Amino acid sequence: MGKYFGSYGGQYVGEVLKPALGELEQAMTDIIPSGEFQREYQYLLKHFAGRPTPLCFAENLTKMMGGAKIYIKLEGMAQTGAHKINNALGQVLLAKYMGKTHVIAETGAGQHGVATAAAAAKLGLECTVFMGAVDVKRQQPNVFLMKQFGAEVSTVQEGSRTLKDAVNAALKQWVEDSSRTSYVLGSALGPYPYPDLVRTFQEVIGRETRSQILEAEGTLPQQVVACCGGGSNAVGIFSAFLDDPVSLTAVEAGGRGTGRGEHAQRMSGQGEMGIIEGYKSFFLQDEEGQVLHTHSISAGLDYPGIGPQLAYLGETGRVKFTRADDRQALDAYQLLARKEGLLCALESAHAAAVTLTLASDMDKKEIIIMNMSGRGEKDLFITARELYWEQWQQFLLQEAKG
Amino acid sequence: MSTIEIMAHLVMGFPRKEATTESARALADRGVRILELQIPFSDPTADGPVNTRACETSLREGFRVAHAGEYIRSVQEMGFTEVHVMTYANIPFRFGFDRYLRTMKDLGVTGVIVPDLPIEDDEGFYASAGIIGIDALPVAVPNMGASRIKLMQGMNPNRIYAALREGVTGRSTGITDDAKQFLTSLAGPKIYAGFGISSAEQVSDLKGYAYAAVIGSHITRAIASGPDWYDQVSRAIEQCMPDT
Ligand SMILES: Cc1ncc(COP(=O)(O)O)c(C=O)c1O
Repeated sequence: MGKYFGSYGGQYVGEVLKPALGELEQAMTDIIPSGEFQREYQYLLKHFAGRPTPLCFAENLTKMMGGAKIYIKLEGMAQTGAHKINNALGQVLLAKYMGKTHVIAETGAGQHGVATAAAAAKLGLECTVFMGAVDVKRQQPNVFLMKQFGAEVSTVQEGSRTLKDAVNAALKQWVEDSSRTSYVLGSALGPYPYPDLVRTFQEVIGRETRSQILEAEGTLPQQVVACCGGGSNAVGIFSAFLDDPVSLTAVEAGGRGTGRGEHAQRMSGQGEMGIIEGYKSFFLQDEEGQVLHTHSISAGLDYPGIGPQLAYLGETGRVKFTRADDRQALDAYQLLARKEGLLCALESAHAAAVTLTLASDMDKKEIIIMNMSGRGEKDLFITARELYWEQWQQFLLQEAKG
Repeated sequence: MSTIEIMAHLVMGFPRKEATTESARALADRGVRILELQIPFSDPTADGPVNTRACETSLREGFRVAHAGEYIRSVQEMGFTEVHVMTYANIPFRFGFDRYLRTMKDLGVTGVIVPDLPIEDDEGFYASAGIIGIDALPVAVPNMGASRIKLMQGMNPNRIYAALREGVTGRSTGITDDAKQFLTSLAGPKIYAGFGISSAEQVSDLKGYAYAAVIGSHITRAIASGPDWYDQVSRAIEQCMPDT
């Protein structure tokens, strides 16, 4: 693919970043298709990340909703608990092949940071993860895990001190030191070639799902549903179905309301076209072009921009965008736990909420697949606070006393 | 002996409007003739921590892009020979690129700088500027390589903004032989060379290689250091004046 998806994408960066992006683009075309790289990458996916991940028939939920057969792709079974490892392993391995000794990454919730730190530990590269101060504070467990993997966590004090500021800080660090360092971006966005690079490493989700459903049912599904932050898990699973008569639905964070700063609905809400952080796409911004704050109970969906390929697929109507709010996500999280024994990441719980509604309106002969992009243990401190506050508070106080 | 101009960079509205006008007055009184005003943006990817925080503060204190015209007009009365306006792509994109260029031209702005509109990915910005009759300064950097320098020269810009350090604004730059060679390779247009300049020695060093030395974070730091903006900025700029 090229630099643009329709009119979205591009490489709107300071001239200083051009050489590093050019080097990465070259590596993408020269190294990734090579037999040697592919052998090592596939080996790591299988024996380190734990692929293929299962496609699980959710029999109880299917009965309960009384509509389409519900299948769940268990990306959360992958090493470090989410689809993020597919991309992190790919990009860190690429950095190693490029002769780099150090990788840097941005992280919001910490999932991409944890995945990159683990991949760097496995492949023997140094790792620095940039994280906004607000996120560091609310995601201490992941900060701890990154440090266990030997990564340095650099706290970002600029801007809203969340994910977008971590991206800015990482890009700046990269500029300082690109001869030694590679920047491992965590979602299918940013300046070219990142949207392509990240999708390339996430397409495995779709490839596996397609062959798994054909094996289980002998036919393709009618619907595939994924949650959508930057869009990497969505574009990863959708990519295998783009040319099929399969409906594709991406679910954005409805947050706690429709007001400014209360959600992260770029496509299903009030997003506007913009050129920000190196790419053209839809962003939550004010009339003058300043980026707005966002909110979601799931840190991974709490981002003001969306990957350019999804923006394009949304514009053409190939992918439908919808929303689930904080409450609906929490309800779906509990339902999946009780009915299917699955602890779903809060991001993926947004996809689950929409999947259940869609399934109940579909025919019993039809099939719907949702991508469970991550597992829920990482959200313990959020879910327990929301659903189990009194006992949880007592436990925390007791632990703090020692 | 060749001479060199100073282009002083101010973030509009940091920490509020009077700071910008008083600082500009201090600069004019010290003989600075070229001013670069930055319209604050929420995600200033090419700025270092000092100017990033300045943008943030200005926006938090209520700066609006709609106020930019007032700022520009208020400094123009102070006798600057050139006023340039710098900001990030999304601001003119939302405003409309052509409308932005026309508005700036009508305000009497000499040049506009948008660091995240590199040539080729510029949405026709540089060409439109030519048609509308305002200078859009492309940014040149030492690591850009001969082919991109050639591409840039092919656009025949009247002025070029040259960033001497690879990286972001705000750290000290030695004017190395490599930097001088790089500036020489840009030959032709007026060169505004900056990034990390904070001393008279650095400014002096650029004589013969650049038309103007850009002083940015050094001034922002001075503004941030207390409420006596006029005095603070006066002292800061005097530190950068080769002849004093
Ligand atoms: C489990 C999980 N799902 C989804 C996302 C959102 O990212 P993307 O839209 O790129 O898949 C994240 C991001 O942290 C995540 O951790």
